[in-house]
Order: sequence, then structure tokens, then C-alpha cells
Amino acid sequence: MGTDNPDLKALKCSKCGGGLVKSYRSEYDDEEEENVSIPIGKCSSCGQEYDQKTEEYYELFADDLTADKDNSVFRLGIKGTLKGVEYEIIGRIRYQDEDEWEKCTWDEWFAVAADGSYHYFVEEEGEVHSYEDYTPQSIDLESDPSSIEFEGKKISKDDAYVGRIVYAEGELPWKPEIGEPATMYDFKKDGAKFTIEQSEGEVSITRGEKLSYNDVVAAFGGEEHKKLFSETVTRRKNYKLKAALYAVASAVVFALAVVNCLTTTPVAGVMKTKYDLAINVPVSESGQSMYQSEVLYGPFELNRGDALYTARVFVNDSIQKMNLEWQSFRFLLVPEDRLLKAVNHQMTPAALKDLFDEVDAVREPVECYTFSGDFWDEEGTDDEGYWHESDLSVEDDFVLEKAGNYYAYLELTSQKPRATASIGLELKRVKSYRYYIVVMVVLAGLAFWNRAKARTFNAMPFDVAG
Amino acid sequence: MIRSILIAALLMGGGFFASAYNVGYSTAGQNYISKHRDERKSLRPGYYYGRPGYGGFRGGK
Repeated sequence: MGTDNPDLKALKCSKCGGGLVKSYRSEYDDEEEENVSIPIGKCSSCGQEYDQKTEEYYELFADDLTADKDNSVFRLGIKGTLKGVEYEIIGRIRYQDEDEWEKCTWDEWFAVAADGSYHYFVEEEGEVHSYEDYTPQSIDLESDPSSIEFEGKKISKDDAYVGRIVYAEGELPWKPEIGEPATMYDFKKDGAKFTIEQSEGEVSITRGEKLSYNDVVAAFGGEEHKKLFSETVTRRKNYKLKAALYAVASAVVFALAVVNCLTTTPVAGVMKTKYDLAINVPVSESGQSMYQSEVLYGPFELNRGDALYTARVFVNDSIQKMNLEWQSFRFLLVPEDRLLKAVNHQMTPAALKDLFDEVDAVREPVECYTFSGDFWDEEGTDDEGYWHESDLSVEDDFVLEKAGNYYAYLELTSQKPRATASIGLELKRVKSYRYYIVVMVVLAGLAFWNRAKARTFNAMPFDVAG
Repeated sequence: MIRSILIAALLMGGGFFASAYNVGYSTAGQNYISKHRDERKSLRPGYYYGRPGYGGFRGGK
């Protein structure tokens, strides 16, 4: 049976008697939504194809589907005690899901209990379930073409799946054939798991429960398995603890980021006093006409040194909307003492204009900080149709070295004449939070990585579910 | 586990330090003034950076 059967090496085509070889066929996959290559058997003489709906397919691919058959705690002849009952493993059948093109197998280990009754241990993807024969109070498999009635519960026949035998060994209640199909229904009722298995007119019903892998290893595992499983459990627990630690640290840092983000103190009276130094003066640059304005606001008090401030320059739409045009600005933060010295305490519009017209050329800078930006309003069409976008606000952060009184100078260049009052200016003292965001992301990443390791770490030579 | 606690503490401490001391932000004050004072020592008359004629308008440069 299985790979031990010499007949499998001489598979013949049922149509012409030619030899069968492994091949591939292109087929549309509904899930992948594209054509994929699927393994099939093919007659080297007549080209007859044998896919996973045929017994020949499983005989041909038996070696691929059973390569890992020895990777299990269970093995023939082993004895173990579970919940006070001693079992001996006497046989095993491996099934492959007929709907899967790739390997998707599970093992049903047949055991005999100390009282002589049969028992089944089903092993799949690192989980082990214990099943025993069950006689239902009522069951009707045939009356309804779309469902099965099981003790008053309806089970849709659409939930059925077909398992194909790909390997068998030991003493089994019947003589299985490679490729033999069995239709199965797995469902839960009153908290218990049930399986109905139909094959060639026979029906078996079993009731089961999931076993702790720890119990399985303790009952059937050898010393090496017990040692490796203990290491697996310990390491998974450690990874889980680390994940929790990093998750908590990430949450704390997130809270600090939120607190800092919401901690702002507006600077009062920034736009209270205004000097219009120039309003919409036509200028020309590279043949393009535009307009320049200059405004000075202040003085206003920035009362905290070594503190972080945000300056926001924005278009005040309520005064003048931007309509398919652009405007750029340059912001200068000017300490009051430096300004007064530069204009010899003559705070007249003329003196201020003279100073700021040459502000980039004066050897002793009058400003202590500057930034610039631009606003725009545009429209157009693309392959998605009409669009209209604008950017009407620019922010910049800076650390103010010294508290005191300051002025803000705005140099404005626009495509069209614009009211100087349509540009607003806000200053507020803020707290930095960007580093908290970076640290939070790093900690969250570490938490996810450790959580994943807690689920997947495995020192055992085969799958063990978490 | 101790290593994880140390890593978490270091990351949180680093974040707190960088936030509390405003690491990486531009400074409005003497640093700016000194830098621009030095730059302007080599300016030729009539060459004003930051004004129309130097760079693009849209960038405000």
C-alpha cells in the first residue's frame, strides 16, 4: 500500500495501456483569477490526462503527497495513555483534499483502546483531534438532495469535501485503495465536533474533540519530541511576553504623542498691528508680470525661549478667494531690538520699507528666522475627468532661542493683485511629537514580529499549532 | 526578556529626549544670524538671494 506498493511504479493508461508520466495543464483559477499550471498525470502514448478527480492521479503522485509521512509524534505500534486510557496505534490512512492542486493532506491514525474499542486521532496542520465512533439518535442522508438531517440539525451538502487516500499502513478495518474517494462533512453540534464520512455505500460517524498538543506529546512522544516540544512552548511563551511588552510600550508612546500633539498655546495679537509697506506693486520677471506686497506685523510677545513654535501662513478665503492663480510668500521673524536698531528707532513705513527692500543685503541680518512657501489653485482634466485642487496653507516649525518681542515680515508675490489682509498668520507654541510617532511605529513593529514568532516558532521537526 | 525591556526603555527614552529637547528642528536665534552674517560677507552689490530674480517665484526662493 502507498509508496510500498511496487504496482505504483508501473502505472498504465486505462485507455491505451501506455505509461503514465507527471505533467502540467494550464487551468483558470477562480481564486487567483488567472490561469495557473496544475499537476496532472498524462499518458505518454495517447495523451490521455488524469487529474485529481481520478485514482490514477493519486497513484502517480503518491510519492509527493507522502514525502513527509514520518513527520509525526504518532507511529505504528506506539502506545500512549490519554486521560487515563491506554491506546495503541495500529494503522494510519493519509488523505489528500481532492479540490486542492497543491499538497493538502491529513492523517487518520487508528488506535485500539485498552477495552478493545477503536479510536481515531486525526492530525492536520499541527493540530490533533481525537475521534470515536458515534451512533446518532437520528440521521437522514438521502431524503433531501441539498442537506443532511442529523439529530434535528440540517447540514448542507454543499459543505461536503472529498478526501482521496494517498497512503495507508498497518491494521485497518477495511482494505483501502490509493485514490479511493470519501465524501466528508465536518460540523459542530452542541459544542462537539462531528464527522460524517461516506465511501462506497458505507457511512461512518465520529464525534471528537481537539487535543492539547502537550497531552499528545506527553502520551505518544519520545524523549527527543518531549524536549523539543518543551523548548517550543517556552520560546513561544517568551515571544508572547515580549510582544505584550512592546505593545504596551507602543501604546504608552502613542499616548505621549497624542498629549504632545494636542498641547498647543496660541500666541496672542500676532496680526493686531499691521504695517502695509507695499501693496500690489507691478513687477516683471522673465517677461512675466506679477505683483508684490510687503506687510509687517507686530510687535507680539513670544514668551518662552528654548521652545518649539509653529508658524502658519494661510489664505483667508473669507477676505479674498484664490481663483486659478498662485501666490508665494516669504516670512521673516524679526526680534524687536534688532529691528529698532536697524531703523534707528524710526518705525515709519518709509524707513521700514527701505530696510526690508534691502533686507537680504544688509551685512547684519535683521531677522532671526525665515521660511517661504506658496499657495495655488488649479483645475484641469485628466482620464478621470475634471479636477480642481488648491493648497492654501503652509506651516513651519522652529525652536525659538530667546523669549521676547518680535515682528513678522511677509513678502508676497502674486499672479494677480491680492489684498494683503487675505493672507493670515498664526503662531503657536507646540510640543514635538514626531519622534514619538517613529518610536511608536518601531515598537509596534517589534510587537507584531514577536507575536508572529510566538505563533510560528517551532523546534519540532513537524508542524505544531499554537 | 531583559534585553527586550532594555530595548523598549532605550527607544522610549530616546523618543522622550528627542521630543523634550526639540532635536532636529531649525533654530530661530543666534545660529541663524551668525550663519547669514557670514554668508552676506561675500555678497556682491545688487545680488540678493531670496528676491525675484534669484530662483523661482513659485518656490519663493
